[in-house]
Amino acid sequence: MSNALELNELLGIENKHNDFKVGDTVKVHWKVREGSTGRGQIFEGVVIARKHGGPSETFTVRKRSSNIGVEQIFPLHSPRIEKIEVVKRGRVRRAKLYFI
Amino acid sequence: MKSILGRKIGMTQYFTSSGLAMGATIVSAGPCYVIRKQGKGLEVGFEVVHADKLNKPELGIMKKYNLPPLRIVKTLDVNPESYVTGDIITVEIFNEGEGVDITGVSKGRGFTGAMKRWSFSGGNRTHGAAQWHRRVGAIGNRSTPGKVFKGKKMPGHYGASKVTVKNLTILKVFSDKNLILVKGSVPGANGSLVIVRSPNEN
Repeated sequence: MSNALELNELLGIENKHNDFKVGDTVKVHWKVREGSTGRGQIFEGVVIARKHGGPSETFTVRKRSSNIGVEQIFPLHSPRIEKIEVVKRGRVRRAKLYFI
Repeated sequence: MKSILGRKIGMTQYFTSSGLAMGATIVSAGPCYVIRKQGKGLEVGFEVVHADKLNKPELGIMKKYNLPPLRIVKTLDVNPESYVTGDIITVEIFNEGEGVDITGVSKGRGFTGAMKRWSFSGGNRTHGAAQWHRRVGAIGNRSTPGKVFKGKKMPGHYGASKVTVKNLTILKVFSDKNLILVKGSVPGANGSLVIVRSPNEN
């Protein structure tokens, strides 16, 4: 049962946002909580890492916001992520792009 | 009172519909076969094995009550009146959202120092400390009282003891796979035997 795929299946997690790789530029549409309600927000940047597997898989997106590097880690299977849109495919030779 | 035997499978992460992530443990519970009434409790068996795994007296009991060979036999603290021999207890006795107490044997840590065992603060790592980093410290006074009090917290064997975690919420019940998902952690190593039961009323 430690198998990540089996765990995903058990917990009813569909792999709906699996169409991106490290190096791709993506737009993450996600919901920000504000009090009792929330609103959608878009975070656009380069995927620099995908970590862990199964239900707790996360990915890191890095962007430059007014010339300051900002990195955000998202849980891949969080219901708060509505859509992950690939803007540009990247070709990289590393699994983790921490040097950017 | 509801109770069932199970094994801890491992931990994972669970998302609520609002997007809250929480740690959760998968427990494979049941099916348990009711053997007989034992005092005020109910003797049940768990995990069907090949007959070669049991010795003759154990196998004799299984034959007597017309049950398959069962590896683990335990007495659960449930009212035996509502069960008869041969009944099967499954995870369906629990509902999602219900609170349960889970008892297991915690991971053994062997002979440990006072810092790990009793959360003593120890000494400085640096600032000139010499050979005084993880020690116990003083254990009493001088001629009054002239002894070390009984129960003084000292290094010793730690872990591998019976631990109960109370009121864990059941997040999901997978009755077809005999699994339950509970919020939080459960004592013991993965694969260790646990007892899941509804909390005491008092």
